[in-house]
Amino acid sequence: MRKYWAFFRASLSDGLTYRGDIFLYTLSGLAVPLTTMLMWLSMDSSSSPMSRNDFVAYYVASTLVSLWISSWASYFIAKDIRNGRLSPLLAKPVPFLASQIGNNLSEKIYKTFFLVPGLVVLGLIFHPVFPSLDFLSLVMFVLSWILAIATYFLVDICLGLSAFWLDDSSAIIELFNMGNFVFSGRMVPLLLFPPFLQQLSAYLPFRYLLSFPLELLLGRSLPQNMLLSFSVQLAWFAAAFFLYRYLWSVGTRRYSANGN
Amino acid sequence: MAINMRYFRILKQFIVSNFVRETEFRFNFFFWLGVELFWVAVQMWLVSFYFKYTSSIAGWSEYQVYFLIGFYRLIEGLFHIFVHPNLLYLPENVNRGDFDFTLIRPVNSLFASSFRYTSFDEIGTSISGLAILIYSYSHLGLPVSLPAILYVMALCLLGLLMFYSFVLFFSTLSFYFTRMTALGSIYDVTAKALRVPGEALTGGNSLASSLLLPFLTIVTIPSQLILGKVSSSAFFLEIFVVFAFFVLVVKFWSFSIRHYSSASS
Repeated sequence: MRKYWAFFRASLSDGLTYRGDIFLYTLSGLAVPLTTMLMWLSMDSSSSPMSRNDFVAYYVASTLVSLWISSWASYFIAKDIRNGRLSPLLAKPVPFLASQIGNNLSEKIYKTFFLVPGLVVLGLIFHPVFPSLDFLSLVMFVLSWILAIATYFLVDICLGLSAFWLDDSSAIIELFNMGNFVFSGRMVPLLLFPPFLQQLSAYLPFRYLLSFPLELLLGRSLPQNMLLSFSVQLAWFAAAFFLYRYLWSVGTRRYSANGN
Repeated sequence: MAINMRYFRILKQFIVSNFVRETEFRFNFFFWLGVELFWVAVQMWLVSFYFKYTSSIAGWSEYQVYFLIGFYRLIEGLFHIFVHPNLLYLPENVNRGDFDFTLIRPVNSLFASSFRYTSFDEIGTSISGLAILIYSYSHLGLPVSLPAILYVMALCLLGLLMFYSFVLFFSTLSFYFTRMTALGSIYDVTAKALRVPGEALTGGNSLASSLLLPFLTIVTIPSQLILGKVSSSAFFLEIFVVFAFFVLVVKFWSFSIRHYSSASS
C-alpha cells in the first residue's frame, strides 16, 4: 500500500508542474457533452424527445461522471513497450499498476478541481434540476461509478498491453474508442436509441462504462432492471481484471527490448 | 519568384517521399480509411437522428447541416493530410530539442514545421467530405456553375487557412510552456465544435458571435455564404478576418523563433 501511496504522491507533484496541460485536457473533456447538449437545446422544445432539463442534467452530469471514468494509459503503455522503456518498471519491486493508478487518480483530482468552476458556470446558465435520490439509489450509483472507473481503467491497460504482440496498437485502441463513443451514451442518451440498439448495448461493456451509472444518478434506471444491470457490470469488471492478469503474465514472459 | 518555385519543388518532394513511405504500410492506410468512414457515418446518422425530432437546428435545415458537416470534413481532411502530422507534434519536437534540426535546415522554419510530413491515410476524410458536400448541395437546389464552384473552392481555402492559423497559434505556444501535449486536446475541442452550426454554440448572442468570430470563419460563415444564409458582403469580412489572423499568427511565430532557446543548449 505504501508503494501505491508513494506513486500517487509523486504523480500529484508531477501534475502541479504541468497544471496548464491538465487544464487544457479538462477543457477537451467538456467539448463533446457541451456541443451535443447545445445541439439538442437548439431544437424546437415541443418535438424534443426529452425535456430541456433532462438534456441539461444528463450532459452536465456526464462531464463529471465521465471524467472519473476516463483513462489514457493505453497509448503511453504501448509506447513504453515498443521503446523498451517498460524495462526499468519491470526491474522495480513494485506492481506495474501502482504507477498507472497513481497517475490516473492524481490527474483526475486536478481535473475535477478545474472542472468544478466550469460546472458551476453551466449550472448558473442552464439551471439543471437533478432528481433527489434515496439512500439505496445513491449507494448503487456510487458502487456502479466505482466499478465503471475500475473496469475502464483495466480495459485501457489491456489495450496498451496489446503492444506486446502488435507493432501498432493504435488500431485496436481506436476500435474500442469507436464502440465506446456510440454505445456508452457519450454521444446520445441510450434511452433514445431504437429498441434493437438498446438491447444490443445491454450486452456490450460500453453501457456500463458511463450510461448505467448516469441512469442511476438521474433516477432513470428501473428497479427491476437495476440488479441485473449491476450484475452484468460486475461480470465485465471481472472479465477485464482477469484479462489484464492474463495479458500481463503472458506478455512480460515474451517481452524483450533493445539495449536492455 | 525563384524562391517560391523552390518551395513548390520541396513540397512536391515531401509529398512524394511521404507517399512512398505510407504505401509500405497498406494495412494502416486502409484501416484508418475505414475508421474515418465510420466516424463520418456516425456523424451523418447522428444528424439524421436529431432531425427525427425537429425540422431545424438553430435555423439550419437537415441538408444545410449535412452541407456544413461536408464542408468541415473537406477542410479537416486536407488539414490532416498536409499539416496535422507536423504541427500537432511540434510541442514534442521542441521539448526534446529536435526542433533545432528544423532551424538549421536551409528552408523557412514555418514551412518545414508545417509541411514536412503527410498523412495520406486521411484522404478518406476529404473524399467523404466532398461527397457529403455534393450530395447536400444538389438537394438544396443551389446553382451549379463554374463561378459557383470557384466560390465554394475559395471559401474552402479561406476556411482551411483560418484553421491552419488557429492550430499554428496554439502550436507556437509550445515555445513558452514546458509541456504542451494537450495541444491534441485543444485541436479535439476545436474540431468537435466546428461540426456544429455556429448559432447553436452562440445561441444567437451577438457578443458571443463577436468573440468567436475568428472561429466561425472556418466553417460556419463560409457555409452561410454558400447557402445564402447571410448577405454576400460577409465574404469581405471573411477575407479580412482570415488574412488578418493569419498575418498576426505568422508574426507571433517569427517572434517566438527569434526568442527561441534550444532545449539542448
